[in-house]
Amino acid sequence: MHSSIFSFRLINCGPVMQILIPAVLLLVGYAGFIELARPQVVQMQSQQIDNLARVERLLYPEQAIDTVIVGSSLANKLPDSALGPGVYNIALNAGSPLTGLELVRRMEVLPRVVLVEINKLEIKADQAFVERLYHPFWYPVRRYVRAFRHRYQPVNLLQSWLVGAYYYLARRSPSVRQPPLNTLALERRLDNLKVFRAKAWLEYNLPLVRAEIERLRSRGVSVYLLEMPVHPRVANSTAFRGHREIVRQVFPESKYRWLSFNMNPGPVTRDGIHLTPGEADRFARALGQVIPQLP
Amino acid sequence: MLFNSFPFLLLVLVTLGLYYLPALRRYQIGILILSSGVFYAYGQPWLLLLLLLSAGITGICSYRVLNHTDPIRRRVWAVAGVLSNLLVLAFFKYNKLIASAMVDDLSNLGGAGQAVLTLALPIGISFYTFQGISLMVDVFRRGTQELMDGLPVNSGYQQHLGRTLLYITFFPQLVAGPIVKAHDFYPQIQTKLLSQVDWALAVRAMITGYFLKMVIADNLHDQTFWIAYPYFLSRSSIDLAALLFGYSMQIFADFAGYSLIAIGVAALFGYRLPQNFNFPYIAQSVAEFWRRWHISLSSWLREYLYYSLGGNRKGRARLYLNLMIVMFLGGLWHGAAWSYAVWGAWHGVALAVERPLLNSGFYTSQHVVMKVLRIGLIFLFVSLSWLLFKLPEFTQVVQYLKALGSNLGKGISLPMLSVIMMYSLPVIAYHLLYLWRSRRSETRIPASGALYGVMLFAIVYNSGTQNAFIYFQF
Repeated sequence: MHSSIFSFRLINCGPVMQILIPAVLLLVGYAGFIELARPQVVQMQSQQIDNLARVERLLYPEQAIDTVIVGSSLANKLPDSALGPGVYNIALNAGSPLTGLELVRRMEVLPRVVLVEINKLEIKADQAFVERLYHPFWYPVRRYVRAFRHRYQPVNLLQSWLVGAYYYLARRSPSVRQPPLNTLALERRLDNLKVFRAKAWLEYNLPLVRAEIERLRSRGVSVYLLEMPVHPRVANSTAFRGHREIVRQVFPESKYRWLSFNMNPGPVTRDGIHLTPGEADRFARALGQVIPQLP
Repeated sequence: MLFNSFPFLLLVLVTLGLYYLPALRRYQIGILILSSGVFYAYGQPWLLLLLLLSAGITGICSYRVLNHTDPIRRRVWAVAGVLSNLLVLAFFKYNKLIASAMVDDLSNLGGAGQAVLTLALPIGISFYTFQGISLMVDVFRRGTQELMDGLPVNSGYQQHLGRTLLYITFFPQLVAGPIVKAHDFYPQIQTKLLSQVDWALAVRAMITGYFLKMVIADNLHDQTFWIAYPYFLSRSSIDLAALLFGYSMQIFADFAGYSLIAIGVAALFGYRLPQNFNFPYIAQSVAEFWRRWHISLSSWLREYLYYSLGGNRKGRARLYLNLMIVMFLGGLWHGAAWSYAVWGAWHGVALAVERPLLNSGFYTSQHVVMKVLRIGLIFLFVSLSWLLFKLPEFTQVVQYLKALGSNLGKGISLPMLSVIMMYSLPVIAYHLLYLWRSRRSETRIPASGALYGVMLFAIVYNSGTQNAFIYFQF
C-alpha cells in the first residue's frame, strides 16, 4: 500500500468534508451578510466584548477621528450618540486610561484631541488586551473581514434583535433610564474609600501616564485631563481627595490642560461613581458641545 | 500553552508532520516526548525540570519494581515511587496548608520558608503525579496482561524510561487530564501509521471540545465573574440564581471541552484517552453523578485509594468512612484550601446519606416525573456545591446563599439573563440529545455534519475572551 503521507487514500475525508462544507458555507454566508447589510448592533453580550468592540471602532474607523476619550468604567458610560461625530470613546470597563493611551499611541493617524479621564489612574495597563487587538494575524483579518470584529459576533446581533423586538412589541421607544441610587453599593464604596489604598499604584502609574501624554503632545495632539463627576460624598472621601491631590501635583494647570464641568443640578450616580444613563447622556451632550471648540 | 492558541496549533501540525514521516517512524516516542517538553516549557521553562525529575524518578522506581524478584525490594521501590510523587505534590501544592497547620503566623517563617510559600503551583502537577502513582501501583500489582505486554520485563532501561516519559508527559493530557491509568496507556505504545488515525473521532472530539471551551465556557466566564465578593451582594435573587446556573454550565463546558480536545488531539497520534465526562447533569443520584463527572479522577480514586482502604468489603461503617476519606482527599486534590476539602466532604456526606436510599421508591421509580425530579435535585445540589469552587472564602459562600434568598425585590438584569440562557442552551441540548439517543438506542445524530459545521462557525465568529482552563489551577 502506498505509504506517503500525502496520499489522500490514507485519510478518510468523508466525515471531515461533511463538517467542512456546511461550516464554510455558513462562514462565507455570514461574512457576506455582515458586509452587505452592516446591521446595527446596540447590545453587546458582555463588558469584555464591549471593550473590544469599542476599541475596534477606533482601529477600523468608519469616519474621521477627531477626538478620543480614554479612561475607565466612569467615562465608559458616556454614550457615543451624545458625544457627537468624530468622537471615539474607548474608555474601558474595568480598564485603565493607560491602556487607552497605549492604543492611541499605536494609531496610524493620531487624533486632534485626546481626553484623559483621571479618576482611576491607579489601574494598571492591560498589555494583553492591547496585544490581542494588534494580533499579527487577526488585526489585518479584522480590517478586511468585518464579520471577525467583536461587534458582529452572532450573539451580539441576536441580543440586538431581541432588544429591538422588545421595544417593538412593548410599543416603547428606548429611553434613557434613571435608576435609583444603590445606597448599599454607595455605603460599601464609602467604607472602602476611608483609606487611600491605591496610593502606591497611583504613584507607580503617574510617570507612565505623564510620559504617554508628553509623547502625544510632542506629536501635535492636544491632551486634556478630565475628572468625571461623582457623588459628593465620594468626592469628599479620603481616597478621592488624596487621589485628586496627587494627580493635580503631577499635572498642574500651569502646564497641563484640564476640562472642568459643573453639573447643575449635581450628578446622579448609580453607585456613587458611575453616572446613571440619563446623567451620562446629559454630561456627554455638554462635553460634545465643548469638544469641537477645543484648541 | 493554551489549546486555543496559535503556538499550540503550530506545535500539533509540526509534530504530526514529523511523527508520520516514514523515515522518522522509529522515533515516534521521542518526537512526542520532545513536543510534550516544548508544550510544557512554553512560558515556564524551569518547570520542565520538575516534570522530567518527577517522571525520571517514576521511571527508575518502576523499572526496579518490574525487574526485581525479591518481594521486599519490589515493595521498597514501589513505596519509594509513590512517596516521591506524593512529596512533590505536597511540597509544591500543599506547602501553605501544611505550614499553616504547623505555624500560627506564616510571617514568622524564615526566608527559606517564605520563598517556598511563594513558589507558583506547577501547572498539571496534580495530574502527572497521579499518573506516576498509577504506574507504580500497576507494576507492583503486575496488573493486566495487556499492561505487562506494554511493559516487558526484559526491556532495556532506556526503552522503559522512554515509555514512562511518554506516559507521564504526553502533552494532550499533561496539564488537565484525563488522568490515564498505566494499564490503559502502555499497551497502546506501538508504532502508529497515518492510515490508522480515526479522523472522524479526532475531528468531532476537537470541534465539540473547542466549541464547549471557546464559545460556551469563555463567554459564560464574561458573565459569571459577577460571582465575586462584594459585587454579588447587590444583585437580585434571580440574577444570582442565573449566575450560579451559568457557572454550572461554564465549569462543565470548560472541563469537558478540554478533555474532548485532549481526546481528539491524542487520537491524531493514535492514542485513545478515556472518556472523562458522560453527560453528568442528567445524573439521578450523587453516585451516578460521580460515575459521569471527571470519570478519570473518580476512577483513579476508586481503584487506587478506595479499594486499597478496603472498599465495601469491611462492613458498613468502614464503607462510609472510606467514602468520606476518598471524597475528602478528592476535594483536597482540587486545591490546597479548606473550601475544596469541604466541597469534597459535602459530596462524601451526600454519597453516604444516599447509599442506603438507592433502593428506595424515590430512586427506583421509573416514572418520568420522578426522573425529572431526581435530575433537578441532583443538579441543584451539585450547582450549589460549585460555589465552594468559585468563591475563595467560606463566609462569601454563606453570603451568596443569603443574598440568593433575600434579594427578591431587586431589579433583574435581562441582558445578562438572556446571554446566560443563550450559552446554556447548547449544554442543555447536549444532555437532552444524549437522553434522546439512549432512549432510542440511536448511535447517529441526524444531520451531524451540519451540527458540527455550526459549531465550527461559532468557534470562528463567536469565541469569548480567552481564558485559561478552570482546571489548570488544580
